[in-house]
Order: sequence, then C-alpha cells, then structure tokens
Amino acid sequence: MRLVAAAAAVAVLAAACGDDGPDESAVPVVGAAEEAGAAEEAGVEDAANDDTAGNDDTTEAGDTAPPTTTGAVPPNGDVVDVVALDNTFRPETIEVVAGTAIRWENRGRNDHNVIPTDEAASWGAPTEAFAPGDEYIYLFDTPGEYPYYCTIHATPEVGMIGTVVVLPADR
Amino acid sequence: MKRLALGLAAVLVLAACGGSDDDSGGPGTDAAVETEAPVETEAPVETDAPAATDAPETTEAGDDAGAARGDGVLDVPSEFDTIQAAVDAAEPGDLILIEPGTYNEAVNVVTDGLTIRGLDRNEVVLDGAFELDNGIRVLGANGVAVENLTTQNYTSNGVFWTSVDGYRGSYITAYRNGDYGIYAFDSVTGQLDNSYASGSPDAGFYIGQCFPCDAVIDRVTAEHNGLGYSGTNSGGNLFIVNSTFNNNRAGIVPNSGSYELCYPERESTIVGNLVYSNNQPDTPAIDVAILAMGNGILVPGGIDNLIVKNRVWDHDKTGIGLVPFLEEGANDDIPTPDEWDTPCAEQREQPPAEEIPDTLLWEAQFNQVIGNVLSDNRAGDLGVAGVGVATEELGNCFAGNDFETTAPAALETLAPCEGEGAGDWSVEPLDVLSWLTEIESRPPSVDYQDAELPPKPVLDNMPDAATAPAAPANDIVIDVDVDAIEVPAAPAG
Repeated sequence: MRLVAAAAAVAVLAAACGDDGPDESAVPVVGAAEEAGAAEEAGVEDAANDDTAGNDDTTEAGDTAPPTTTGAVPPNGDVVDVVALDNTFRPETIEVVAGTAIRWENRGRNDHNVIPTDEAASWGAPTEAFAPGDEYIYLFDTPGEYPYYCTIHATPEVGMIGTVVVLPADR
Repeated sequence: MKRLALGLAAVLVLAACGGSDDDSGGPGTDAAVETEAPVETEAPVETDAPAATDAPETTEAGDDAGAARGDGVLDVPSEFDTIQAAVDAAEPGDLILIEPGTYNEAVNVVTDGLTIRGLDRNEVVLDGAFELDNGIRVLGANGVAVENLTTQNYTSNGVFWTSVDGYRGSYITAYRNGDYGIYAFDSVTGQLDNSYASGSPDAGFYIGQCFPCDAVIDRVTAEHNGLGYSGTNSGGNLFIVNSTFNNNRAGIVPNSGSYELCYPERESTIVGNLVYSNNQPDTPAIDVAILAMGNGILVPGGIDNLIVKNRVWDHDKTGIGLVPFLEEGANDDIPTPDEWDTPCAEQREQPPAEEIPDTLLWEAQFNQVIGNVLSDNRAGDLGVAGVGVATEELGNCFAGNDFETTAPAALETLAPCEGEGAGDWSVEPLDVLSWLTEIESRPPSVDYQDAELPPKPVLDNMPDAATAPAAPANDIVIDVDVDAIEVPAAPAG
C-alpha cells in the first residue's frame, strides 16, 4: 500500500499527535472514525521542517514547497477517513473542524483521483498516486467548503464527487 | 493493495459445434428482446430528419457556438469542429451526426436526451491515443444514446454512462481501452446491443451498481478482455442475452463486493449466449480476471440468478460455476437476506455497518442453472462450491442441462430445481480454494497498450445511420421473453 501524504501535513500531524488533541466531544466529525494518533498509523511521523499547514498547502509526498500560514489553525491531531469506492466517495460530504486531516483511501478496484474543483487549489491526489490501496492525506486548517471530484468518473458536478466542509475550530 | 481474492466454481458440459453464425460484431442469434434500438435486420426507419449531407449552412467555419442549425441535427466536423463542441451546443432530443474521421477527443455529455451517432461505425473513430481517459462519458444525463462508432486507445473506458436513468449503446466498437470497453455504472433503464469490445483489462461490457437495473445486453461480442462481462452488485430485470463471449480470461462474471455500492449481485438473467474458450492467457487483466480465468459463466457470490439455455464449452475450469467470492479489505458487512430486495437508491444512502469484518465471504446462493448445453470444461461442466456455508445449504439448483461432468458429481441429482435432492455432496467436489493458490502461477496481465488482439474487425453498421431520426434512450423497455430464446447453435468450425 502506497501512502501519498504531504510531508508538510505529515510533520504537522505527527507533532500534534500527543495528548494535546481537542476534546473529541466538541468535534462534530461526521461519518468516519476520528482517530487520535491515527497520524502515526498513516505514516505521519516526520515532524522535521514544518510547523504549520496552511490552506491549500500541497500535501503530496515529496512536495517540499514551504507551507503558507495565512489564517491557518494548528492541527488538532485528528484524521478522518473518506473511502473511495468504485465510483463513489463515502461519505460524499464530510464535516470537520479546522485543523483536521482528511485521509482518502482508494478501496475500490479501479484507479481514481482526488482533484479539487477549485483549479487554483494545490492539494489533491493525481491518478498515478491514487491507485487501489493508495492513501492521500491533507490537513484542512481553514474553514470553508472544499468540493472535489474524481476526474475519471465525474465532472465537478456529477458522478464521483465529494465535499469537505471545514468548520471553525472553536465550534 | 488490491483487495480482491476470490473463490469460484465449476461446471459441466456438453456442447456442440454446429451451425454457423454470422461473424460480425453482433453475432446474431435471434433476439427476443423488445427494443427501441434499431436492429440489424430491421427495415430502415421512416424519418423526417434530414440527412446529414442536407444540413443547411449556418455558420462561418469554426464558429461552433452559432453553428446549431435549428433542425436538431448537429454535424461534426462540418458544422462543429469537435464532437464536444456539438454536444455542448446540443439540446435534449438533438442528434449529433459524426462524419468519418479520427477524433482525438474525450467527450463529456451532461445534456439529457442526446443521440450521438457515427455515420460509419468503422470509420468514425474516437481515439484516446493512450492519453485521454474516456471516449464518451455521460454523466448524469438521462436518455443519451451512442451509436455506430468506434472508441479505442482510451486509458479508462470506451463509452461510459454513470448516474443516469435511460441509456443505450448500439453498434459500438470498443477496442483496446484501459479499463472497460462499454461501461454502465450506477445507471438504470438501459440497453447495450450489437456492439463489440476487445482488449480491456477489466470487462468488455459492464453493468454494475444498480438494482433494479432494468437493462439488457443483447447481441454483443466480447473477446480478449480480462472479463467478457462483469456486473458487480447489479441485477433486477437485468438480461445478458443472445451474445458471444469468447477468448477472454473469463466469460460472464457477475459478482458481489463491497468495493462498490448496492451489494449483493442478484437477479440477473443470462440466456442464449455462446460462451467458449475463455482461457486466454495473453490479455490485459485485472486481478479478478486472472483469478476467474478459465471459467465460462462464473457467479462469485451472486444470488438468485437465472442461467438458462447458454452454450458453453472449452474452459480449463468450469463451464458454469457458482462459487464464493472472498473479499479482503471489506467496506461494509454482508446484507442479510431480508435486505436483498432493497433498491439501490435506498441502500446507497445507508451508512456502512459499525463493525466491518476485514474479510467478507460472499456465497453464491439460490441460483438456477437450467437447460444449458456444456462440454469440455475441464473442472466440470457444472460446478458449485460453498466455503463458509456447506455447499448443499446454498440453495442453488441445476436441471435440464446437457453436460458430461459436474463438481460435485451428479449435481443435478444432488440439487434439482424441483423436488428434493439426493446423493453424496462429498464426491468429486469443486476445489475452489486451490484456485487461490494457482493465481500466482497464472499468466500475468499484459499491458492493454501492447496486448496482442485480433485485428479490429470491420463490423455491421446500424441501418440508415445518415437518415434515421434521433433515437434518445428515453423510453427503453426491458421485456425479454426468455422462453422464446433457444440455445444458440455453435459457430461453424
């Protein structure tokens, strides 16, 4: 299983995976397991060279671009799962608080990808990095709605689409 | 990590190689399917639509945006430089008429009720050049028909409908595409007919994630694919009829699995097909195709299917096999029998089970195998096996088949479709577990770009492509008379 996770997010998550996570009861995570410490399970272990993950920071492995910090909140150590089946993201809409990482895993038999609808966004997993069994993690640290889709099996509006709704961390 | 493994089955046979058939893409046994689509033998349809060559001149060259003629026929490339431009300009009910040529396009369709038609099936070629993903992709647009053209060399699919109500693909040639040839996913009320698919690692033809599907595959040919037909979690008024599946890794393979929604696979009807020599070692192939290799009609984990009057011969494993499907890395638990009738639209809204087993074992249950003619299937013309449940408790039945061998032995006596069975289920059982160990020694997949395929055949065109009116898939009626379909004659030679 290949793990496609951003060095930046990985480092941040690893740094946050101790005892400093938020009160879980205050985190309105819908539809997926909230895993304190899941960052380590996902291979998030290298805390070197980043301390933040800004909105739209690319989180792909090997991306060494420095993260931006505008409006970002610290990572909370939570990792929420979204499963890519053939050809559906499950859950299709996921709601998390800022500072939460989303981990997508391709658990289908076919290739997929995770592409933001916002063409200017720099996060996402291309097809070659999201084959069956692959994972991709991205830390959402700024409130907002982040629609995405699989370009193979959807347009931005129809088909294999999903949305990450990021709520303020103080909710 | 691919999470599939599998189980499988066996069968028996007795076949005959007799009469001839046409060798066109849609080998035509006599269809008994009500269809809105034009059929090879039907008379030309009277139409008010003008021929493509009669199109009025409306725009300056290249001015696609203003090119629509207002007659509901959009010509490519004389009026629109690209198919996509015509599709984007079209309105529901319009006909996009494509002149011969090679089109390096990946066409997206999001408008309901279009008919996209090539003027010549063999000379209108959409070519992905191993770079573009889907030849024609219909996303959420209901009633779109694709007719009379070729799609080849796409990295994903030749023609692909997803999330639609109403679809039809007729006289399509799908050749050397990187996933499926002709692919209907999460779609209902559809028809695929008179089409040909070769060289896809997954399936030549696929209908999946639908229940009830209300769909039919009729008079198609699939050869040299990983699977001839695949139907994951599909069924319910779904028919695969009058078609030919040969020289794939495996022939017709409907299965259950939680890697797509709407599980399990159930209530598919497979009637009147020619299924032979699905042992092909040099095709592109996904892992399931490699695992299922050597089987004619294989039902891994399918439920309540009807397999009737097919001619099945020359397979290294089973002719018709009912076997378990072992799914590793499950995404949900297996539905209980009281949930099998749940429509897909309802089931897909339900969250997965709170406790999900790592591995699921989907057993093939309550299938009926009746009146087939089978021969030379080396692990059994007919076969059935349970792994998590005793084989005799799965409720499958066999009757009226013409066969030589079964696994277990005397299967029609053990599990008749009427009355009580009798005998010893332990005699010559189908050893499906050994298939799991054999997979490592089977020929690996060949890259779809490089696989040696039969030359792309020149196949029959739809009748009157230039003059037939638009025929959107708005009123597909699935009304197959199973009783009227006979066991097809074997091809000459």
